[in-house]
Amino acid sequence: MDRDGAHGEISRASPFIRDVLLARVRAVRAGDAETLAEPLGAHAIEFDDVRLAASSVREEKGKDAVDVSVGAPPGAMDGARARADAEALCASGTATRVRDKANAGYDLTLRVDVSELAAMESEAARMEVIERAARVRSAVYGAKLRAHLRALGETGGTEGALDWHTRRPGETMFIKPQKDQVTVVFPMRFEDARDAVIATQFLTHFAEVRRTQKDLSTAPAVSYIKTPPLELKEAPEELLNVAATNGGYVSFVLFKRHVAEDRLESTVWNILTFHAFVSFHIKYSKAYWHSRMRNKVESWLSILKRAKKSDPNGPKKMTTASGRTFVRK
Amino acid sequence: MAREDAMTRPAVVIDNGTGWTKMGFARNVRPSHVIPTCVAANGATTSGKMMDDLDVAIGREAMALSASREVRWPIRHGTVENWEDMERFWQASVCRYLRCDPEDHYFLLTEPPLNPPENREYTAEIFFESFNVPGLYIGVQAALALAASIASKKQSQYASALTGTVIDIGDGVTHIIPVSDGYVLGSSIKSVPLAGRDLTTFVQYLMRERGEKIPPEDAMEVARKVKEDHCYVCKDMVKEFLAHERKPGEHVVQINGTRGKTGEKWSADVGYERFLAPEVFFNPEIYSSDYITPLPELVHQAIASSPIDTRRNLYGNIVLSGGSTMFKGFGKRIKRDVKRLVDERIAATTKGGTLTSKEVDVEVVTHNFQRTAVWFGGSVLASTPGFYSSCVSKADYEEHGANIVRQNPVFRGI
Repeated sequence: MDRDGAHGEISRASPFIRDVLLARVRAVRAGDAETLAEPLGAHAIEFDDVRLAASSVREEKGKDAVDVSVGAPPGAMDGARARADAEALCASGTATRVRDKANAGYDLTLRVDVSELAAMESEAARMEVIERAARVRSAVYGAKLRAHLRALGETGGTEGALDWHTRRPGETMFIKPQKDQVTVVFPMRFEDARDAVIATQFLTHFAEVRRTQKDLSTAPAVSYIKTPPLELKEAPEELLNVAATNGGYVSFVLFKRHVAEDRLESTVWNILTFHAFVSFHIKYSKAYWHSRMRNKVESWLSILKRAKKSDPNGPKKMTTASGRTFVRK
Repeated sequence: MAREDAMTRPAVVIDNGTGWTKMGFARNVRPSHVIPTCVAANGATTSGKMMDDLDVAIGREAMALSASREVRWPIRHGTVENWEDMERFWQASVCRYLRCDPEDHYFLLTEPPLNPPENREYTAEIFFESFNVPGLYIGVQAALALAASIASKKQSQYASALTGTVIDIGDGVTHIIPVSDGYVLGSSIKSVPLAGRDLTTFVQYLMRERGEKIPPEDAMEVARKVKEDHCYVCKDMVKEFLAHERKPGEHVVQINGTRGKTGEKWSADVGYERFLAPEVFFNPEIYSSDYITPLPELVHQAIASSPIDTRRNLYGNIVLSGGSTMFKGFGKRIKRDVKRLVDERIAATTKGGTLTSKEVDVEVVTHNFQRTAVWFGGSVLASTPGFYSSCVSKADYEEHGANIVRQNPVFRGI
């Protein structure tokens, strides 16, 4: 199997949270008092404007903990469901728990007991807890989509009203529960007109590969069209914003088999990060083209350097010292 | 969905060094990720397989792939040599490590002193064309290291004006860079062909000569750890030798390890190399036969060749930056030796005459962030409100083209 993320998949665990927790656990294990004495206050912003923060807490002497907080753009988080899903994420052990009240400025806070992690015998178990804590984003942001997909898994899918998840103001993902299936529609919007063109090419190809390759026949169906699909006819005009959608509409049709218990989490995460995946892919392909362009320019330059200028007065008759003549072309 | 609000988000600060890349968001004290600056890209560009262009590993992941792929280091001696790999490296840092949308953030990058302006243009091209960043600032590493020393608690009286001498010892290269009011004094820069990697080699050599039983496959790594954990700068090499002779128990440290393949345990003593390794900077003849100018002397030369009205300030604010300046006692030793040279020079010029000279203050600033000083300086600069207006914006770039970044507006926000 390929390495994790080898083809641009976005890992579920946030590298920021993972590295912060790992460094802290390492410091506790090594008894590095200097590092531990320095209060930790790190923050980061991931795609879709998700704010992450880690801060150290010392509840009592010799007991270190780190608060991992998540903040969402307005309207992106479904509070109660997100909390329940975050609690489910922490349920497997005692080292992490969801705090009753989130830290100021954030929507949800996990408290990770670093001392307990450091005391764990098995390295694998420790990594597992850290990985889970680092996945908090997936738990929190996938809440709405997860609820729909769970319902699909349990009831087999019933016709429902159109629902949507605003990833950030102006960028919406539509969810339409139907009989036997859930359709997720992404209006693709790009800031840069050139990006939109590349995206159109990429997405057309993406949908075509899904249709034509046999080994992808069990993957969710993908369709890519330029105008809003029928599922969106009940969508409010201001959310749909047809004029701003310069990259077309991508729909995924998910069936019961895609939301089986062991698949649910990765399905939720892959759908949730689809827009970021496409936009990262565009950036990567530009780098790829740039390097091809550079090679081309270099090869042209090497031809140019070999070239000789021709004389505007035509070939010239020359005489050598010994009196022989020749024509210089 | 315009992104004018990019100014409300913290800027991304990336410091690409020869050995390590430090990256993170402004307003943080430490970088979020510190990874080796190396790339293992999928070499096949026309294999026809889908999305090979996404198949790029950087940092430790790349090193882990060294068995199956060529691992390349795009930066040599501080400057970018391979732009293809560098572009891929930046891609992967932004998309896989920071995971931010580059269109949402201003970027602060760093460059070595005397970086050719063409390199700045290439960098701007990559960041504006393929990342669509809203704004870019390329700061000189030395000036950022000065900014870091100002922001750290201990500051000397001259610090406020972004004037000082930066001793930057990285993994691959050592520079002494006088900076006056944010401008690098290019003609006075001195460089030393000794840096962190040479110290590691020296430690390894000393331990091997003494016959310590360290598994050869780990020798380099062990030497690096010894250098980082146990080395210090002594006051006087000869006296330190005597002290080690007399009381080995107090000075010799034992290190232990297990062999990766066989699981066999080994242990080794760390003795003289504890002070001999950093001593390479002060007495280079113990390591190299062709390079023999001690570092303090070079600092003195660099300052003495700077404009006369800046010299006092340059002596008064010597700033350390880079991982190899972290040795205990390094700052004190530099201070003492430089002071000695300055005093000698003053004594020589005033001898026999009637003129007297005011004593020159020599001050070396040390702080906790030396290892990532440049990054920290960048983070501090990028968190000041004036930062966004000193960036080159995307609109500027589109209006004037890449050569707009040739000039670097010096930033005096702090």
